Amino acid sequence: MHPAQAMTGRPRGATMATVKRLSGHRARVALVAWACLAPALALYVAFVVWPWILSVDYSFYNWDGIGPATLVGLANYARIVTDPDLLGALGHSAILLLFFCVLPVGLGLVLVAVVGRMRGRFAALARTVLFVPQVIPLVAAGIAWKWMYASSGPINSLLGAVGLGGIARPWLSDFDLALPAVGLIGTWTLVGFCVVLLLAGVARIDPSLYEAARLDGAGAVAEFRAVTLPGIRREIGIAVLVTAIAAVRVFDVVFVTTQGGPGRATSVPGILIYQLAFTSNQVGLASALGVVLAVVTLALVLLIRRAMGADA
Amino acid sequence: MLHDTDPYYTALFAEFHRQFPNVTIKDTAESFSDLLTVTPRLVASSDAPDLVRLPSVGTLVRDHLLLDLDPYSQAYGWNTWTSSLIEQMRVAPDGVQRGTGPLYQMMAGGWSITGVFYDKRLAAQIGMTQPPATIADFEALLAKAKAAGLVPIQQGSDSFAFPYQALLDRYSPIADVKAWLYRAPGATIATPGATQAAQTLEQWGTAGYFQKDLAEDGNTALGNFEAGRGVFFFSGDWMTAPLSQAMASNVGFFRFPPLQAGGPQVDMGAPFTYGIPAKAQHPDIAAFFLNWVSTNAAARQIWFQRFGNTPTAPPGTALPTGTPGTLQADLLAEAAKAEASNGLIDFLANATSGIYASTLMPELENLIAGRTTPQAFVTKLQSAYTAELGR
Repeated sequence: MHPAQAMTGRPRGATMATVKRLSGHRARVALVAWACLAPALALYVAFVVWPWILSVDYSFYNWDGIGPATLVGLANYARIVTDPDLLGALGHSAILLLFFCVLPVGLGLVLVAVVGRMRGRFAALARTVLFVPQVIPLVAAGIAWKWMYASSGPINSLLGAVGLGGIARPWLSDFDLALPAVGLIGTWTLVGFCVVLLLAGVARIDPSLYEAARLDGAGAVAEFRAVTLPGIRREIGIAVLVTAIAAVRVFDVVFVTTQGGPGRATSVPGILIYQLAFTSNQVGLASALGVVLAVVTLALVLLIRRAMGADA
Repeated sequence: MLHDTDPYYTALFAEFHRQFPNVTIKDTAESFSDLLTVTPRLVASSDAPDLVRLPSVGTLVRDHLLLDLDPYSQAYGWNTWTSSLIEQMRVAPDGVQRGTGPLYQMMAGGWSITGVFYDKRLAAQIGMTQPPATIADFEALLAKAKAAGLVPIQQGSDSFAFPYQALLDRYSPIADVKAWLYRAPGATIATPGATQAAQTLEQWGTAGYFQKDLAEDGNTALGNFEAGRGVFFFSGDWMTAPLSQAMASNVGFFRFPPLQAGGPQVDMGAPFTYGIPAKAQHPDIAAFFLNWVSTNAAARQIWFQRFGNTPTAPPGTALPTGTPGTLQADLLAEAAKAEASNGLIDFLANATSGIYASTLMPELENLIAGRTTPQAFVTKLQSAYTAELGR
């Protein structure tokens, strides 16, 4: 699901209560509603729900995808919690949460405080520039950044120009720095999304609240803390939710830049599932990892929603 | 016939038709990656081709979709050809174990050899006048290169398995390596030879014999080597064309040296392979064609002109030797020696379909970077192998 497709809240329905009809008509209306939903629902069940159920089924087997499958019960799951490589991938996801979720939302808030006060064409330009990374396909961003991070790439050239040539290195090949480097690509892509989302929230805040704050003698920072932040709490919740999910399900950026390397430094569940299912022909284990990933994502979503308030 | 998109086939079919006008070849070309996905379905269909380019049998033998070529092998004498190549195409009836059993693929066209390319100018700089005679000599050269401030080995992380297997094939009894490669029951890579090979590779890594960027990809490594930023480069004869073009006479080739002077040298070498589907309508003609490609001089010449490496041929055939002093001549000479001594083996990466991406590549990176021990590396390789084969 593309982050920009996130819905920002359930619409309070225009009420049907104003219409008093005979129950037969209501039944007909309901039938029409189902008829409209049916095609989309059918596709959803066929391509999302059914494969999901199949995945859960496969996760209890040892299967190469072609030949006969052997029932192994929870063995795949046991392997996931004991195998250091598989656990490591989940650990890397946690680190990416910092770069994909915490940093973009944090930076987004700072930028909103700055850009939010601007008016006019410059503000529009700033917003566009910040949002452009979101528009670029993640794969293209990954390839571009791969070049930037290269030994002879612009980042190292820049470091050399300011006298920091000593720390220049092939960033994506460094066992310790590859994951943060990939994480920063995610930050770059998602900051714009957070800014636009949060700004939309700011636009909804009643200006009279700002006036009241100013009358009370609040400076910019106090104003931000007292009026803006509480006002965009819902948007912050959405931003955190969407970026957290992006962090946990990341695949394209890592695949295009490091493929999980060097060694296993940037291996993430998405990459592992792909490798296990399509190169190693261990469909059962891949499915189990997929199920674990889904459960972890769900838990994360519930946690965030609880923390951000139930109306997010 | 089903094959990949290469102008080689156009020329080959034209020659075949010229010699045998009564035979028509209807061929379909697919890109190489599409070929791999499309082949199993087409071979299983009622409209199966008579001949198909088959880099690996996959599950086709287990599913009884390929023709047993042993009768043709007896008739044409293929079972007398270089056995270390022919055996790579045998598959046991269980469809998993290789190296034994009926012949299910046949080589035609050419085969590749692997070894060490070297930059002649840089080699002269470190006093290398001829290819090293032993591994110890090679390591001495590596040390000299390092001391001279050069990059001894420029190697893409996608082919660290080449130096590893070169060492493995010398430290370990070849029968053991083949057993593991061919998925013999109970085969294991957790052997002293494999651990020693891993240890040597780790030592090379610690000594800084590889380029600084250990996760460098193959293309970048090739570019660096061509630009003179590496003394040695492990690869195969498919690199003849780009290297000759970029480095002209400044590049040479030798097979990785033996443990002791004059000792056995076994190197990775794999042929172009084809299979005849069990549902083929004209298997006899397909087999005849396969035999023709290797036994007919004009056909061999077409391969040589297109690819420049050794064409497949019955033993004792006079093979092209290339222009003396060129890289190609070096490669052909080394390949001839390897074939004569029957010292060829398949690539480690072919042990299972996933072992390369899942374990071999990342763990070799870890090993060379000093992030895992030789023992741990070998253990991990074996456990990934057994996990994938369901043992």
